[in-house]
Amino acid sequence: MNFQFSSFAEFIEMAGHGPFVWAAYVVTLVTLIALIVLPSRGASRFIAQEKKRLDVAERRARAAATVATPETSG
Amino acid sequence: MNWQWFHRLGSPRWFYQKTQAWLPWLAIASVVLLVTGAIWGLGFAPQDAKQGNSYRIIFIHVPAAVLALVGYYVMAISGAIGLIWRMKLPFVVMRAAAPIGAALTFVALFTGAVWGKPTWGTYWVWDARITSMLLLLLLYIGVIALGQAFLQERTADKACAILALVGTVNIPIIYKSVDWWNSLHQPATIKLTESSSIHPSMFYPLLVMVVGFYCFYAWSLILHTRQQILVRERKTRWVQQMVASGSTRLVEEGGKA
Amino acid sequence: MSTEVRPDTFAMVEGPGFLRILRRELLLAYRQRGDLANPLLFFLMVLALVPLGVGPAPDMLAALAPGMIWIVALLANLLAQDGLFRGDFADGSLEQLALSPQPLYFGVLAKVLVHWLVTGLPLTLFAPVLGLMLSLPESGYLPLLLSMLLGTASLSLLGAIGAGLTVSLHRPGLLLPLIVMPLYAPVLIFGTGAVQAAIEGFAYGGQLAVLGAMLAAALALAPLAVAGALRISLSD
Repeated sequence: MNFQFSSFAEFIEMAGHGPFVWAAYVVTLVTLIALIVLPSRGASRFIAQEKKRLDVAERRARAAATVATPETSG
Repeated sequence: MNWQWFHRLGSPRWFYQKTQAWLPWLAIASVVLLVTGAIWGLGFAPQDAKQGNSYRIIFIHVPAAVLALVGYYVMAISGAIGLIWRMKLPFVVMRAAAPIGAALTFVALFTGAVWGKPTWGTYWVWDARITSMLLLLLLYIGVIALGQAFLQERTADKACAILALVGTVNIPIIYKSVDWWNSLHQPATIKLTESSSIHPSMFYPLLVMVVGFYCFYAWSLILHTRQQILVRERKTRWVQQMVASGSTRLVEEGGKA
Repeated sequence: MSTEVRPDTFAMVEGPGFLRILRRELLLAYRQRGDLANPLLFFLMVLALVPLGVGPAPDMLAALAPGMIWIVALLANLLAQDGLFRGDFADGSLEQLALSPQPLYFGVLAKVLVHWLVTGLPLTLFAPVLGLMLSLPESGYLPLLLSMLLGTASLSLLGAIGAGLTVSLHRPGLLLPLIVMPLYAPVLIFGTGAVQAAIEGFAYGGQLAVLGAMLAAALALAPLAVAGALRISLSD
């Protein structure tokens, strides 16, 4: 099993078929990466979003509690 | 007969927990196999006598087409399991399989078209397989669009499952009839390299790529399913705990749950 | 017309339910005879565009005729699909049909049969006229008639699956055609195949047999899928 091309330039050129072969491989690569990145990012983004909402709700509850305390104690 | 494992399969939390350990292995296997296969196919496999270097597209075209078709059956069978046993998880898998299948069908079509230009002199011919692939893409898009059209997730799941099953019955009919139609309209179709007659030096890298695509499919399917599970189970305690910790990793508290 | 009382409700069905539903549907179709012309009008309209688009040369039109007639008939059928269950869904009679003791299968079958009688059958009978206008070769008329007779029935059954899945959606838009189109492809292939074969002087019995087989399979399986789809839509 040998490398079929004598130089790197020839490898890119692929005897004239380079543009077709490389276009096919690049589009495939981009699609495959998207199929991994999109769900992973979606999951972490969802967690971050929910956390933010949780924090806001918590802060609001705490703020409401501190406002409410002096009234009840005084 | 112990059916516990089967019912566990219906539990999204169990799935989320189990697959967490599989993900790194699947990722490593997919990347190693795909990179090896691609380098082998692009640089080391011999040139094709007739098609020159353009045939090197086969190493992504065929695996993508195989997984596009297999993916439809994954989707339909998951849907059937969900309908029959009324389980949550198979529906999630089914819905997750649709965009992956559509993307792989697109890859198969695109690589086929780009391969067609140097080989047949045109990007698009109404070849039987290309036409069937186009119809398969429409079947996938139909399932995705139907799933998005419903307000209630439960209704969407069941409707998609029915459509996927109807498609499964029809896929062989569509393939056969398109095959027949093609032989009628274009008697002199240029046949792609038959995989049975392919030389071993070209077949092995192809085999590596096919296995790599299978691993990749499992990897992507699990990732999509996990994301869907998080969104759907957002009200449950275990997802809320993950939200509180700010990580997508599920950490078991105190041994086995 | 909109405030008229429906002639019969499914809840009252006794005895042979299939025939009752059939009669009710036919009566409904008869009361709305104005709508009956719609698919035919669409058929005529679109086919009138063909010569305008590709030119009036008879041999060119003759070459396109089998395919064009079949495609436009298919689209006309698709256009009529959306209304198949919509009225019954809106006024609740679909729910009653689903709750009735007899299997939903037969109710669906009756509705689809009437749908075919008021769209597929008229389209089939009208097709030779359009064949004449598009200078379809003489040997093509009989296979056109026969293939459309078998094919439009399959189309109605397959389309009903899409109609059942989308009936609860307020704005289905392109969804119904998108779902149904890939399923229609085999019927189109063998429908035009029969006409083409006859024009070229070959036997076309094989294509008709395939269309018949498709119809038999659709008759057995499609109402099951439609019934499932309707139950899901009703629970939405």
